[in-house]
Formats: sequence, C-alpha cells, structure tokens
Amino acid sequence: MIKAENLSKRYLIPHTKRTTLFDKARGFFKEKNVSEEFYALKNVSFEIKKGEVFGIIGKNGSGKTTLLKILCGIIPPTKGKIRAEKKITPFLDLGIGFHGDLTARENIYLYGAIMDIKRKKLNREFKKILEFAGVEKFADTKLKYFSSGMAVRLAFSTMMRTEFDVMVLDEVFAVGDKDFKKKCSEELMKFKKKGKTIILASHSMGEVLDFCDRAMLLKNGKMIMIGTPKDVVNVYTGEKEGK
Amino acid sequence: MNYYLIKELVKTEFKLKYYGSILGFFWSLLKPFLMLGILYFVFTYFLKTGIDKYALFLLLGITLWNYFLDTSYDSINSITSKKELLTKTKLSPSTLVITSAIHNAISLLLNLIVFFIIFFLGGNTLGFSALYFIFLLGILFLITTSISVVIIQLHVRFTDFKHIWDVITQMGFWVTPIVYGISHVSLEFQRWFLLNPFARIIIDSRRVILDGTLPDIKQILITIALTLIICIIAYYINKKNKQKIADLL
Repeated sequence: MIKAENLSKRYLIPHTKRTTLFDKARGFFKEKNVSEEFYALKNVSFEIKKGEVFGIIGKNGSGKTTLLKILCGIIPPTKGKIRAEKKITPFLDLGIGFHGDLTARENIYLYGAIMDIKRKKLNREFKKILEFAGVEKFADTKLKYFSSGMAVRLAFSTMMRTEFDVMVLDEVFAVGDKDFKKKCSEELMKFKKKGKTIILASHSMGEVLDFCDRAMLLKNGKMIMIGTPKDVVNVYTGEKEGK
Repeated sequence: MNYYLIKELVKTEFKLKYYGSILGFFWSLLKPFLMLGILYFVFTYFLKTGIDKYALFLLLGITLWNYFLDTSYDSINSITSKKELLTKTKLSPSTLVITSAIHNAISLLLNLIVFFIIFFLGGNTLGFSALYFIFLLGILFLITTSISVVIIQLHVRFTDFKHIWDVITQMGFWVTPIVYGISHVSLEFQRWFLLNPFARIIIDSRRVILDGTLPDIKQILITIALTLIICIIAYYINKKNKQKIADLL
C-alpha cells in the first residue's frame, strides 16, 4: 500500500533571474531578489492499494511528472509525506543513458544496469530482448545507425525486464507505431494480471479506461477528484470542451 | 551504492573516451608529458630550481595533480551530460562522482606505470618506504572524491561556476608544490602550505619514492586527520543536498 499525505511541491521563480555567482554578488548590494512562489503540487493526498493500477490524468503542467518524481523519491516534497511498504521503481523515460556510439549489446547492458536488472538475467534474456524489439540482426551495430523507432523498441524491451513491486510509468506509451503499441499494452496487461501495483500518468484516455482500476485528476497542481476511470475521464473531457 | 552500475558506467566512460581515436589511451599520456616538457624547459633553463632528478620530481607532481583536476572536471561535466540519469532515475549524484574518480584512477595508474618505467630506466631503485605511496594514492582518491562531491553542488547552483573553478584550480596549481618543492617556501608560510592536502600528498610521495625516506609519524597523523575532516564534511554536504541536484537541474 502507498499512502501520500498532503504532498506539496513549491518552486521559487525569481523575477530577476540570477543564476550566476556574479549576478548574486551584484544583487546583494542592489534591491532584494523578488521571487514568486509557484506550487507545482498543492496538498495532494491519496492511497493506492496493492495490486491496483492507478491512473493520473491532467494537462501539461498540471503536476503529473512532479508527483511521479516525488513518489519515486527522486525529488523531495516541500511538505507532506509518502508511506510505501515496497520499493517504488521509476519508469519515467525510455532509453535513459542510451548512447549512439555504443552498440545495441553495450546499450542493453548499460541500460540494464541503470534499471537495476541483474547481469545474469540480462545474459539469459538477451536474445528475447532483441527479438521483442525486432532487431536481432543488429546486436553489434552502433545505436546511432538505428532508426528512432528501433532504438525506442530496444529501450522498451530492455526496460520490461526490470523487476519491480511498484511501477511508476510516465507516458512511455506515446512511442512507436500501432503494432508496437499493441505489444506494449499486452506487456502491461501481463503485469496487471500478475498483481503488480502500477501508477500511470497518461494523456491517452483510452489507456486509462482500459487499464486503470482508479484514476485521479490533477489541475494546476491540485487534486480535483479520485474515482473510477470512467468518471474521471468524463470530468476531464468535459472540462476540456467547456473551455 | 550499486557496484554493478558503477562498473558499467566506468566501462562505458572508458569505451567512449578512447573509441575510434587512433592513439587511444596515449592521448591521456600526451597531456601530462606536454605539460612536463614545457615546465621542465622553463624551470631548468630559465628559472633554475636546483632540484635533483627534476624531471621525475615534476612528472610525479603533475600526474597526481592532474588526477584531481581531471576528476573534478569530469564530475562537473557528467552532472550536465548525464542529467536524465539524475532527474529520471534514483541514481545519486555521488555515484557519478565516484564513476569519474574510478575511471580517472585507471588513467592515473597507467600514467604511474609510465612514470616508474622512466624511473627504473634512470637507474633508480625503490625502498620499503615506497609502500607508503599506495596509502597516499588512497588519500588522494578520498580527497578528490570529497571535493568533487561538494563542487557539483556549487555547479548546479551557479551557471558560471565552471569559470570560477578554472581560476581556483589554476591558483591551486601554483600554491601546491608541483613545479617547486617545499624547500622553496619560506619557513613562516610552510605551515599554511601544509594545510593543503594536495601539497602533503605530493611532498610525501616524492619523499618516499625519490628520497626513500618516510615522513615522521606526526605528519602522517596530520594527513589522516585532515583527510577524515574533509571526508566527513563532504559526506554531510552530500547527504543533506543530494536530492537538490535533481530539483535544480
């Protein structure tokens, strides 16, 4: 179970931009630095049960990614607490650490290490990873000669080998063609059936309706509602059309 | 600390550095030797230092100092170039610093091999005191890592920090006895000089390798105490601020 209590994230946005030490020193003698408070998240509380697929919906800038990062422990909340029984594993982007000058093989091992996949497991499933991505012939080709679709598929198929208890996904599905998307959905379904807890931020309403058990709507960093995917999607689309 | 990840990152760093370059690893030798050539020329023919075995004396100083210099810059650069690792995975910034420290340590060892080849070809021999040098390398690693952990915090806060670091390290090069020895420093300044951990490391390395004598126990204890203080300060700064890097990037 994961319990988030009153999560807030505040950023200070300076009016006069002073990012250099020189600016700071000069500013010290001049007027005070005026900065504006900006809440990327404000008092967000929720509970996620074990084995639940929980969707987070919201427009760009509504605080989805900030919330996910706080959940994973990448950035600290300004206020509030998260209590989680199990380790939360971030899947915030595809192909983190991929390097064009390394071969597919080297990239798989590097990415695997970053995602904390055991080396033995990588050795064992190496072929499957290439097969799933459809790049069996190019194991020793440098990644820079791959098409972007191939690279993304390779990243996804490596990423799916990660062992986790709680998965936090950020729009990773916005990639690849139809066939690949279908494959991805199937993989996700498998995890769901295994009873894994998944937290998913998404733009795609279809995805939320298909996968999620419950969903939450965020707007300007505030939680608008938590409910069944259908209700939440209705409110979200209604709001969009209303504007 | 994830050792498997550090190993993979170090391997990658090495591959990328020497991939497709014809001279490969020799580039990393070229830099200290070019520096050695210039400084040796100036300080042997124009400004005479009168130091015995000056080439070896200088090469040892440059090699050890460059380890610190390269690690600090690699740490700063890796924070920027591997930004997504910090903002999208749970990787801690100190892992990137340790990666830089280790891959530069490998270069340092290769450089030291060349140093000792020249050393033995010159008919020099090593005494038992040289074992203390291994300890000094450990100290160098710890202090370099500690300082790098702190400067990456400054780097993410001030965009012009790299320029400032250029000036600081340039200053550091001249206040550390690299091209000269401690005997060139007047007695009243010596005690301040010896607060600089790199001065201690370089002076003692020369003493145990070139002169074959050990520093006295009091000095060894001071070195250990100084190292501990620096490590503890760096540890707390890192502990308090490690998540702020992902926030500031």
